[in-house]
Amino acid sequence: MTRHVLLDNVTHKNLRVRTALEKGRGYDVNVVRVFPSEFGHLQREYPLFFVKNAESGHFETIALLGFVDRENLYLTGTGWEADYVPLTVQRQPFLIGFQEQVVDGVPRQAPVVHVDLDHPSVGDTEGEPVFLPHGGESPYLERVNSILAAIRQGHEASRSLSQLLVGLELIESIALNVEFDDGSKQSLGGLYTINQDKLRGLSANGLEVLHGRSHLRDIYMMLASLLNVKRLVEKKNRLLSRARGTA
Amino acid sequence: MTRITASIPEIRDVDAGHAFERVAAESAPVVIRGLASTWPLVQKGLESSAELSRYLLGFYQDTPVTAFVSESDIGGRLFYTDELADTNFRQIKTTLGSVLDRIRQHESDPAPPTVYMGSAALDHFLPGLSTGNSLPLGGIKATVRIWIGNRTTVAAHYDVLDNIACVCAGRRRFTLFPPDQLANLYVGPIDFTPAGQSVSLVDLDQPDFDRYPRFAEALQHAQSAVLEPGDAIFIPSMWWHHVEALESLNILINHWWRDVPAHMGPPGDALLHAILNIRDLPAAQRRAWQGIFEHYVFEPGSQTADHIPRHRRGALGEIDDDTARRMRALLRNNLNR
Repeated sequence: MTRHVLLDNVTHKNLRVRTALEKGRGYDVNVVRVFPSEFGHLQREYPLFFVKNAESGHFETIALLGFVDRENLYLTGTGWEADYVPLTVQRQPFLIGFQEQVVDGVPRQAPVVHVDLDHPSVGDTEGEPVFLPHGGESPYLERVNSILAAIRQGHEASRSLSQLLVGLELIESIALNVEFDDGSKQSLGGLYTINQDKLRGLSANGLEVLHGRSHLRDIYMMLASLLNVKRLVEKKNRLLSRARGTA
Repeated sequence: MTRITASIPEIRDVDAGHAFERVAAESAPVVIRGLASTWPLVQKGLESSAELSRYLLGFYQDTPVTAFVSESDIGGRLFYTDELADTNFRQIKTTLGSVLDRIRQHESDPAPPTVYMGSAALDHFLPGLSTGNSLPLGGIKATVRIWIGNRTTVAAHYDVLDNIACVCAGRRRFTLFPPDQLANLYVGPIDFTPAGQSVSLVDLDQPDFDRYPRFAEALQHAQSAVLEPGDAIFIPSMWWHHVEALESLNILINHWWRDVPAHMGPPGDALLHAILNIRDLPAAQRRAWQGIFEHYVFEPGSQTADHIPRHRRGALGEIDDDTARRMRALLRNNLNR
């Protein structure tokens, strides 16, 4: 359940957010949206893919966190086990909304901060205060603002990347089949990645276009990130072996 | 119906190319008859509302517009409901075609449902229309707006900018009060306004003198004029103006400008800040601050900072872009608490 409302310093004067990333607080997901600006951090720890947005039909970049629904293998009893946490996780429970504002007689959609009041991290007793005692923005909210701004830019970069790759026919569907130590198998559909054969065969012109928009770097980081599938399988194996040990 | 006997001074035969220079010499309102009479928009309006509508829509590129609409029972007075609970109109997103249709459908209706599209940036909504249908700006950085509606009344309010408004279609009555009539106008909230500016709560048509006795004094200082198509009015910054659109279709194009450095923000921000931080001080302290504001803000002169070496005057000296930046950063930081 979600209840998104426009954040304001009167209605939400006592709002606090528990920033610890813990199980059962809305972070139990196996896929998160990620953006090219964070690929540098992400590719060292997470496998990155494209998925097709069911509504728009556009490709979006995601990090895979687990093999089944609600399985987040990075989220353990001691918190989020990774050096870098994706922006769309860090932003929670806040999100970007838009509000029409008229400037010099011209209406424009201005980004505004919304909060999900039903998010399990939201309350008014523990965690980081969102507002200062007299209604100013707390350092925590200022940090959230910059995360939301980075996400907004990320959406544009992500759209530019996928449009370019679709145009160059570089995106291909990938069947992810993994086997765990206990002999169980898992196959994941709906994932897409870069077609490496086509990438090798790309014309100088195509490469220049990709490089010109800094997307060549994004592509190679996505490809490098695929090694992290192995890391994810190991995480799952450790979980399975612990489960067997305690059984 | 309240009678205002004083008329706004009038001039005519002003060359549109020199209108801004001409009014720069004025510190009081002036009506400029016929300033816009040769504009195509004015000419089309004199032909028929159908011609006018067709001409306008020829420039329109389907940009959604915001209109204020209400039932006929408000009599076109865009205001508040009882006890200022809400505004007495609602905002809708629509098209210019639909606004014009709504207006023209009720053309012969003596009490039409209110339709009002105000203060829309002309170049944004009707690109190209400003050519030949607005004043030549020369070097003036003006924002040009268009106002389209049927019979409407907007209660007295001031704008921060200087204004030359040209009636293009219909007729408009302007009733003006000097800035110093503030206390006699019974001005409403500053943070909940019908359309962005605080308005007088007195109904000029039927003033309730029991409730608003000082308004009688305001009327002593009022001046009014009715503008026909092609007529213009210069409304100086800060002059209170009550505006009635009198015909079934009224169109106005206005030019707002002010000649101040770009780093200067809205004076109203300073007012709000002063209300927050000064108004509720103990009387003696407040009086001291009154003197300080007089000294530094309202009557700056040689005694303000001439005794300080020029390089140390900072905010007390001439404010350049860098000084403005420092002041803004300090204010922003201090406000966040």
